Amino acid sequence: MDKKKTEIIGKGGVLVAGHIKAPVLISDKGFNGVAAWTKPDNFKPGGAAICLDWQHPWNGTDLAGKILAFPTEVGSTHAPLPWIDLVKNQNGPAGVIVARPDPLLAIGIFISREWYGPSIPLIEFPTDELAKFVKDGDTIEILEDGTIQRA
Amino acid sequence: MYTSPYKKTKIQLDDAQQDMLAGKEGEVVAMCLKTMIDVGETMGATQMVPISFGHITGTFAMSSFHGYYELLDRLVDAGCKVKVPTTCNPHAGREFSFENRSFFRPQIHHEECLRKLGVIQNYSCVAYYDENTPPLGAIGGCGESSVVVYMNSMLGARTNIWGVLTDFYQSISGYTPLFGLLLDENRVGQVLFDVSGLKDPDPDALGLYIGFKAVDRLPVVTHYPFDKWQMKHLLSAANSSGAARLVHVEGVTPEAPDLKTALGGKEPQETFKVSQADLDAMRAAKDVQDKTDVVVFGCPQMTFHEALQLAPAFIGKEVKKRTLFSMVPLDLERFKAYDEYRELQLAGVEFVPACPLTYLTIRNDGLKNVLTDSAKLHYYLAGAQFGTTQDCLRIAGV
Repeated sequence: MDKKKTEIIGKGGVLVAGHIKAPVLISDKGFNGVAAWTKPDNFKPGGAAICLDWQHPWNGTDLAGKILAFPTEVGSTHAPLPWIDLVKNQNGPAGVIVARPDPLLAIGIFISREWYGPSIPLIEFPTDELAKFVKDGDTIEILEDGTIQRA
Repeated sequence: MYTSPYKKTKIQLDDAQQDMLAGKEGEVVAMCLKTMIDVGETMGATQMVPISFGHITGTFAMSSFHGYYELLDRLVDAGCKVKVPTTCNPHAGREFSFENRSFFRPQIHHEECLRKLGVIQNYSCVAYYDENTPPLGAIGGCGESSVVVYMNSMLGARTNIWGVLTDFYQSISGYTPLFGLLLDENRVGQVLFDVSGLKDPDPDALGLYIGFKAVDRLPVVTHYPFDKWQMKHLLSAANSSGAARLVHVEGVTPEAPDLKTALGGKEPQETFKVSQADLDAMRAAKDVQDKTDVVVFGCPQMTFHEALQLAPAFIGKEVKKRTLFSMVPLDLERFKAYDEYRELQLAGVEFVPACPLTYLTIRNDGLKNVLTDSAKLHYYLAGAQFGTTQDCLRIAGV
């Protein structure tokens, strides 16, 4: 096995466990799920996970299948509305790495897991620490125990 | 290698909570409590505490989302009822347009669900002025970011920020996990905003600036005699661009009699000297404002008091651009008894007792370019430009 390809980046705190391998997107800006995912274009086929927050660097980016890394969730209490559907329907982010967990973010994932079944990993880990090892588009792996490694 | 010190906690339940979790009040109530326990253990709580008030955020039935509404039906079908006084957010504005009647098609059923669950039918995002005024130190479980930040900041009541469904789970179970803003140590200011150089600061622009700079650190603002209507705007804006769930303003908010107290006797992590140029930079340029199709006032919703304040600008005139007042339903009914209401109607102002962010989300090209003096609406609504109240009046043509 190529040692570099499985380089361990660190071990995050496990809020919601899961094992996933996917490309990562890193932002140093708070993420606002309502501003991102409740625009008219989000309601068109295939548009549910496209970030349409004009004030966020991910504006215009389809976040489906990505591991999102950001400092914290900001903004509205409708945030779980899109999160619940995106996690339940498995057509949203593949996982989340957040520096400072907030109930708004955890709720959507918890409700999907406990009331519907599908879930994604939610890991506490500093965004700037992650950015030392990987850049946008690099594939990383999150293990059940919170280990984050370059895939 | 970085290893997170994070660990989940274990919540110890009392006898009544254990009975509820075991299904004494039914399986669905037990699931409500279980979800709140799980979220609480994730956030560091070690006990569940009773709440005395709640506020529901999810009053809009958007046909493109499904998970939330299906679970709400489950609560209704199980016969669940809220245990504490629980107000709710505005109507969606289904009647506003042809497009909305389709997009918010499930709204009628949704509001029937809210009624069956025992929610107070106020339909206002400023319930903290009248229908829901918990005392200093009271513990609640509220949705709606602008309600959460106002309850914490201006009333000194204590609530963490809760999203759709968890607001119901708390009002139905009667418990919230003890963590975050319910604890004294987490209500201490961290970053300072010095507004001493500002003359008559626009609270919306200042709030937007504070949110961007503080992100999720707790802001303290030096003294300025903002009234409770201005604070509504400052706080809702700060909680749009940032995670400002509590903001202290020296000499204005109850937990900030002075800067030392607000900052817990510590030095701020960072100090921002706010300039007028910082606030002006938040607003749209004049040439952008000139392209406006519709001018919108009232986000958070306009009260009776604010409508009366704004009315003189319109009396004897006629608007040149479509102009909307988004009002609290009960305040609009009160306002109808006044001469100013008739004068505003003559001027061409339209009154919409609903949430502008919601009823303008799906809109036709004739309403594409919105101008508002609300930083919150500007932040959330695509195509909504931000101006001062005077800018909005100028563009409205009065």
